[in-house]
This record gives sequence, C-alpha cells and structure tokens, in this order.
Amino acid sequence: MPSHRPCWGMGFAALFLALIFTGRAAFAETVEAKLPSGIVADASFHAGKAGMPALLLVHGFLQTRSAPPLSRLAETLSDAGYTVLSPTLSLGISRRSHSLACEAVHTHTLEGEASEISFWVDWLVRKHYPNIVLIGHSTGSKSILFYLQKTPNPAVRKAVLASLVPDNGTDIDREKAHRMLKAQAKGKEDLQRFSMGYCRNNYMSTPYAYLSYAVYDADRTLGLLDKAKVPVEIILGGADTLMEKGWPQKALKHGASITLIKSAGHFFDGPQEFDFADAVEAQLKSLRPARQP
Amino acid sequence: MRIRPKLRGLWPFSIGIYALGLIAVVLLALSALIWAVQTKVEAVKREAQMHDQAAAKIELDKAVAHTVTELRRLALHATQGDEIRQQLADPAYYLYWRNYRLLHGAALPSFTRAGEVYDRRGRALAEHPLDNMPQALAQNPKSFYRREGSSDYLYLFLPILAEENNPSSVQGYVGFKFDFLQALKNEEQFAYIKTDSIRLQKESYSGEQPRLTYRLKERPERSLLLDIIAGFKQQIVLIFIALSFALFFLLNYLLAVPLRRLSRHIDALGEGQGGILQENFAKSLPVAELEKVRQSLNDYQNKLESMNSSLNQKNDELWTLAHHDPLTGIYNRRCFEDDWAHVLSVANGHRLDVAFSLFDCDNFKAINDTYGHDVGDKVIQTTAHLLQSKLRHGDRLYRLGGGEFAAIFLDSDPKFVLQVMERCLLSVSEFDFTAMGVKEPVRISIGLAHTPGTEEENLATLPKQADIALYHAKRPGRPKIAVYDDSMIAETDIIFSTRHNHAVFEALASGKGLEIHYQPVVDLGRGAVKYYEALVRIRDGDELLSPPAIFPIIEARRIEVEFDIAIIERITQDITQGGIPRGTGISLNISGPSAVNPTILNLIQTLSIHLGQYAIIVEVTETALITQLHQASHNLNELRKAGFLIALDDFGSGYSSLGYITSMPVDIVKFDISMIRHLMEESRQSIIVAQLAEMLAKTGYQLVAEGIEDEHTLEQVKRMGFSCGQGYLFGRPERACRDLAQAKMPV
Repeated sequence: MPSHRPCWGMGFAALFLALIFTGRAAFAETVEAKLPSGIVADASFHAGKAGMPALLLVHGFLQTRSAPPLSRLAETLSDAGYTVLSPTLSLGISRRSHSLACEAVHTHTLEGEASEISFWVDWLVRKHYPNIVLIGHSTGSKSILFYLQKTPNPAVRKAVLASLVPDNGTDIDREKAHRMLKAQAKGKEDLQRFSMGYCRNNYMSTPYAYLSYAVYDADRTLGLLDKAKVPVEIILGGADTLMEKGWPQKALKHGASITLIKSAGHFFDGPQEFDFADAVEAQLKSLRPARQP
Repeated sequence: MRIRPKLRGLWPFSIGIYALGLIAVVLLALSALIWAVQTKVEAVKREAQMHDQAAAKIELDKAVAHTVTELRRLALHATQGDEIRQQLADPAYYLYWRNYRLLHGAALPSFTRAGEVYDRRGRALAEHPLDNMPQALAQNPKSFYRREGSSDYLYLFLPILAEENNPSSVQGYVGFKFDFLQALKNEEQFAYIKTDSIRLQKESYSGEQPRLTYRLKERPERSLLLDIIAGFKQQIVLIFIALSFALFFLLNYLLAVPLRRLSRHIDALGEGQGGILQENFAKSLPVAELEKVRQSLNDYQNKLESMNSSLNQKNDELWTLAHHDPLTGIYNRRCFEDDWAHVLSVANGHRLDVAFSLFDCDNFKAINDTYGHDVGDKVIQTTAHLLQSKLRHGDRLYRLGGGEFAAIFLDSDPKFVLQVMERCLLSVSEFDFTAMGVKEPVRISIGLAHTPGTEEENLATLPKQADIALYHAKRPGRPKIAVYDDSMIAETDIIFSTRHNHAVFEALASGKGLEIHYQPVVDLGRGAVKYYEALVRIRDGDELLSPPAIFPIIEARRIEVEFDIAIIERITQDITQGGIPRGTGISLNISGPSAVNPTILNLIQTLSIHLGQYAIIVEVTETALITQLHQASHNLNELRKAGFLIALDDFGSGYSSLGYITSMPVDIVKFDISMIRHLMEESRQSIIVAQLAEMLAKTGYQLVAEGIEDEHTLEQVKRMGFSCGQGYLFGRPERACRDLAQAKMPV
C-alpha cells in the first residue's frame, strides 16, 4: 500500500536542517575509482555517523550525481548523519561530470550501470559499511532493480526507488533495435536514433545498448521487483506525467511498498522536494538496526 | 611713388579700379579664409583619420584578442566536455560524434568550418579530416591563420587534459577551423573599420595574433560634418561673392559713379564746359560728403563762371585798352601789329589785293609844341575821326604813334583805295582847326602801297613801301598822296644809305668833310654883295653831298640841332679866320628844332660880337616858324633885339599866309625860286606874286628873290621891289666868298 502520510511539517523541518547544515555538505569528498573497464569513475562521498546506514544514491537517466532530486537529497541525508555515496555513473566516460545529451554516443548499457552500482556497493563494503541502502531515482531505480535481481552484496539492506517508471522506449524502437541487432555484428553496430526516456527520437545508441534499457518495459520492470532480493520501497510523485495510469497499483501487486507524494512530479521539485526527503528518511528510519560487521 | 612705365598711362587709377581692387582684396581675403578653413578642415580630417587609424588599430587588436579569447573559450569548452574524452577513449563512432555533436552542437558558433580531435600523438581520430584540417599535428601544436580562397581562417588547437589543471595530463588535442573574419564580424561591431575590408596581411600566420589589413569605415557623421562644412563653405563663397558684387555695385553707385561724374565735371570745368554740365550735374548724390563736394563744385563753378564772365569783360576791356588808342578811340599800334600779322598769315598764298596806307599829320610836333598838348590831342582826335569817317565800314584805322595813322585794305581795288585816300586828305584839309586855336592849316601826308598778297615777302614790304611813299608825300612841293613805286627807292636810299649816313655822322662828330659854301646875296640897288648865305656841303670822297642828300638823313635821325651847331661853329670859324669879307654879312640857316633850341640861341648870340663888322642874318623856313611859332618867335625876337636879322626862307613853297608873316618876327622875306619863276610867266600867279612882293616891300620887309639866273629875271624882280637877289647870275655857292655880283649886274 502506498503510504500517504502528511509530511509537510517534516518537509519544512528538513528544509530548515538543510539550511543549517549546508556547510556540512561541503565536507563531502570526491572519490575516484577505476572501474574494471578501465574507466575512471568518481563519486561524492560523505561519511556519516557510525551506526547509521550508508546510502548509495544512483542518479537518473543520463544525469550526474549533481542532478536533482538526489543531489539535494544527498545533502539532506548527509546532514541527517547518514553516510552518503553519490557516484556519477560513467556511461562509458571517464570522470564524466556532465549530464549526457540525448544526441551523444550512447554505448552504455543497463548492465554496465548495474556493474558500477555493484562496484560502489563493494566500495562501501570495503569501507566497512555493513548496512547499505540503495536509493535510486528514475532510471537509476531501474538500474538498482537490475542489480538487485542478480546477486547483490549482502550489505545491501534495502532499496528506495524514487520515480520508478517503465518509460524506457517504444515498441517500434525496440523492434527496430532487435532487427538491427540481428543484422549487425556486435561491436560493429551502427548508431541509431531511438526514443528513450525524455529523449524523443534523438537517443543515439547502438541497438544493443539501447535494448539493454528498452527491453525493460512495464511488465519486465515489475518482474524485476519480483526478483529483488532486498526490500524495495518505491516513492512516486502523484503528478509524475511519465507514470502510466495504474502503475502504483501494479507495483504494489509485485510486493513493493509505495509512498506516493501528492502533487509531486517526476523530480519532486518545489515544495515536494522536502516531502521526498522526508519520505526517504522515513524509509531509512524504518530500517531495522544494522548488523555490525 | 614709383610707377611702372606701363602703368603710368593709367596712374592715378580710377575709383572703379580701386573698387575692383577692393573687391579683389575681399575675394583674396575670402580665398585665404577659405584656404585656411580648407587647410584646417584637411588637418582635422587628417588628424581624425590618424585618430581613426589609431582607434581602428586598437579596436581591431581588441576585437582580435576578444575573438581569439572567445574562440579559445569555445574550444576549451569543447575540450572540457565528457564526450570528447569518450571519443578519445572509444572513437568507434567518432565521425558521427564529430559531425553531429562536435560541429553541430549548440556550443560552437556558425562560423566553425571544421573540427577534429587528435589523439595524444597528434593523429586525427578521423581517417579523412574535414576541410583541410591537418591529418596529424606536430608536438605541442600551435594555432595558425591561413587564407583559403576569399576567406581567412584560424586553425585553433588546444590540448585535451585528463585533469583540468594538469598540463601534463594531455590526452589528445582538439582543433577547430574558424572563419576568422566571420568570427570578427559576429563578435564585434566595428566603429572605425569597414568589416568587409579586414583581411590577413599575408597568406598565413603562425600564432594567434595575426596582422590584418583593413580599410577605415566611412564616418557618416564626419562625412556629414564635412559635407556641412563644404556646403557652408560654398554658401560662404556664394554669399561673399554676392556680397562682393553687391559691395562693388554699392561702391560703384555710391562712390565710383559720383566720383566719375565729379571727375568728368571737373574735366569739363577745365575744358570750359561747366555751364553745359551743370545741368547734367544737378542731380543730387547719395553720399553726403560727395553731395557736399558736388554742391561746392557747383558753387565754385557758379563763382568761376561769374569770375569768368567778369574776366571776359575785363579781358574785353583790356583787349580794348590794349588794342585801342586811348586818345582817339581808334585801334593802336599793337592792334595794327596783330592785324598785320593776321593779314600776313591769311593773305599769303591767296590772290588777294592788299593795300596799305600811312597817314602822317604834317608838323604835328610843331603844332603840339606850339599850341600845347591839349590842342595837339584835339587835332589828333579830330584827324582820326575825319579819317575814320572816310574809310569804309569795317576798315580799321590805326594810330601808330604821334600824328601817324595806318589803314589796311583787303581785297580792294587800288584805284578805289586811292579815292578813299583823296577823300581823307580833303576832309582834313577842309576841316577848320581854328576853333581849336590852331592858326596854321593842318595837313596830312599819305603814303600808299599796294600788292597782290601772293607772297608773304611782298606783303611784308608793304609797310616799308608805304613809309617810303609817305616820305615822298611829305617832301616839300610834292603831292600829299604818294603811291609807292620802285623809283622812290633810289631817293629814299639816301636816307638808308649807309655810306651817306656815315659821312653825315662823321662830319657831325669830327667836322671831317663838312664844308660851308657861300653864295652871294646881292643888293640890287647897289649892285654889291650884301651878304653871303652859308650853304652846307659834306664831302664824301669825290662826291659832294648837297642839302637834298643831307637833310633827309638829318631829319630822319632828328639831329637837326647838333648839325646846326656844327655849321654855326664852322661859320664862326670862317668869320674868325676872315673868310667873310668885312662889311658884308653872313646868313645862316637853322632848322625848325634849332629855332626853339636855347643852345642854338646862345650859340648864335656869341656871334653878336661880329655884328659890328658883319650883318648876320638867321634864316628860318616858314615851316619851322609855324611848327613852333611862339617859342620860335620869342627866340627870334631875342636875336633881333641883339642885332641879328631874321629872314623867312623859301617863302611861297609852304603854306604860309600873309597873316602868318605879319605875326612873325621877320626882317627879310626870301621868295622861293618857284615863286620867282611864276614872275616870269604871264599868268594870274605872276600877278599875285608881283602884288604880294610889292605889298610886302611896302610893308617894310626886305625882299630877296632866289633863283635869279638871268638878267631878265633880275630886271623883273628889281621892278617888283625886291631889294636883294640871289642866284647863279650872281654866283654859285663856293668855298670862298667871291664878289661876282657887280660883274653880272647890269649897270
């Protein structure tokens, strides 16, 4: 059941705290790590209070860790004492620091993103954080789901997936991509123009890379929920236009706990930003005490 | 002021030339002003151009620097993108990325012509770089400029760093080809440079600071300003030219025209046309000072005219005075000379008969001296009036001096002129001068000469000819009108004979040649010489000059007194030396002037010591007596008182009347030879002469008959009562006194 808790008061309190502790966010450090692919990825890391779970924030489609709503959420959670690791998914680019345009060359895959999530989870584990909560937004949420269906690190205790929506392509594009994929050898594929997320017919990608995301339509996404090996909390914006009708109900049916923030859009911007943070923190507080390593 | 010879004809310049000069000076000043303005404008223009050049250079440098910086910024932005590193890491889809992401992304401007990414070793990721982009780069590649076709391009290369502030972390390079001039145009708005004119100075440059050529932008506001200045200049020129013309016409109207009028007026005044011009110059002048000058000129002219009129009147009067004889009112000698000169000039070369007459009042001096100047003046006035009245209307009568008059007759028949002269002579002869107290008859002598006026030389001799004729007319016993003919010259030559003149003056000065010849005067009763008449001769070499040759010279030279003195002295000498037989007498002739001369009187008085031994008779002619009757009578009376006898010589040859004789202090009357000859005729005249002689003898006068050359005459005169006789019958004049009378006398 999606929880419709009134969270206005908490929202304002979070905002107040965010203002007070804005300076703390500055203490966050940037960490770089060389991925197995050789690509150098970086992340913002803020060590929180001991005993509090470490949070791995995964940003949305083609974004960086600086993109809302997770950038502000990271600050809020850091200020709340959580250890927060906000990596920027490389999307195949070392030290990527900017969001990637739709027209850029997209050879990155959903699997690649899951691998990077896995890399950073392991990084946290190696930093001795036994209780890790994965927080994703939009496609980041899907990447977490994709990671959770495999063999997630045991330190991962929970996943909070914001704006998990199934809009990752069209059937026509998927069919086209499949056709092309069959016709071309892997590694020698031509770039093709697809629709993906907010990229409307301008997403330049190889069919393989495209399909890595696009195959996860609504049903397959819901199927990933089923396969998730840790509890999954879903936070949705009541006014998210990308969300198809009846999506929360469908997600509920697949065992996910859903928090619906009324009037919130896909990015929880505006006053709903605080509601979103409150909702996340509420999910984190509901987390049972962490196991000590 | 020194004036060039060519300009002397123009100097002094007219007001018109000065006006033109003033206009020229104004135009010159205007030209200088325009030139100065133009020079200043050009200077400002040059300064502005220099300023524009400097500003353009600064502007261009700034624009280039800014453009290059901006392009570098754009390029740098490209190097800092994630995607470029993606391409370096995996260039599999580089061509797509280059063409659609690098070059057509929103980051690069439209003047980006090409772009390439190079790996760390400088090799292009593309097998065929776009649009002349290099395939490979040198180590540490530098940007450069290159002209390609009509465009100049900047090839800009920047390293792609793995770490932002780590220059050694070069992962590769990115290069762009920018249309640099287009970039300049897009980036900058040029205020001073014509954008289209910007070009690379050379085909290519290494580095990011190119040298560019350019042209300055036309400055519309400056062009407008210059156009305004040029327009203003043209307007000023036009205004000045118009003003100059206006000034010229104004000067011309106000000054030049009035001054020219004044000048013409003054010239006309100088030429004596003031009277005519005054009407034309009545219009007032527009300038007060000139108007004053005009009025002054008119006033001056009026006064001048008045003065001129007065002067003309005075001149007329003066001319009248100068050309008229104040006594008679007829023309004078000056007028005669002017008229005669005019006649000479007019008549010369023409067939024009010219007659010239000279009138002379006989014995006028004697009349003057005798009756006084008042009477003499009246005689002259009357004579002049009488003569003028007989001349034709328009004939001029001139008084040449004393009692001498002249008249000129042009284109006149000589016979007519002679008739006029006769009328003149008659009018004077018939006039009764006794009313003036003049007892003696007043006569005139007229000399007339005539010649066709063909040659000036002939004309010029007319006065002399008339003078010669006058001389002849004045000779005793000659007609009172003498018309000149060449035969008169010989006689007259005596007067003008240099040799005779010399002899006369020599005799007068030294006594040389002066001889006294004595002719006996016989007492007809006794038959013995009563006395000798002393007759003068002058020996001139072999020639013996007689009185007819001597006295014209004496009279012409007015030396009668001196000559008489010499004769008296010689007679005195003869008496002293015993040349005169004692018991006889001596008679001596004195001239008219001597009769009234005290020296002569005194000299004769010295002879009184001989009166005891000689009878001394003083002979005077009746003419001499008449001319100075009173003084002569006085003197002669004195001599008579002293014991001298007075004889009237040549009685009957002149105009003496019996009335005159009775009033004269005369003891002896000598009948002229012409009278004696009348006695020999059986005529009325002989009776008169005989009666006259008888009457005079009875009155107590001693009578002497001259010209007794034969016995018949002797008898006749004796019978008529003549007491003495003289003539060749008794003896010719000789140096020595000889008594030949008795031998000849009938016993």
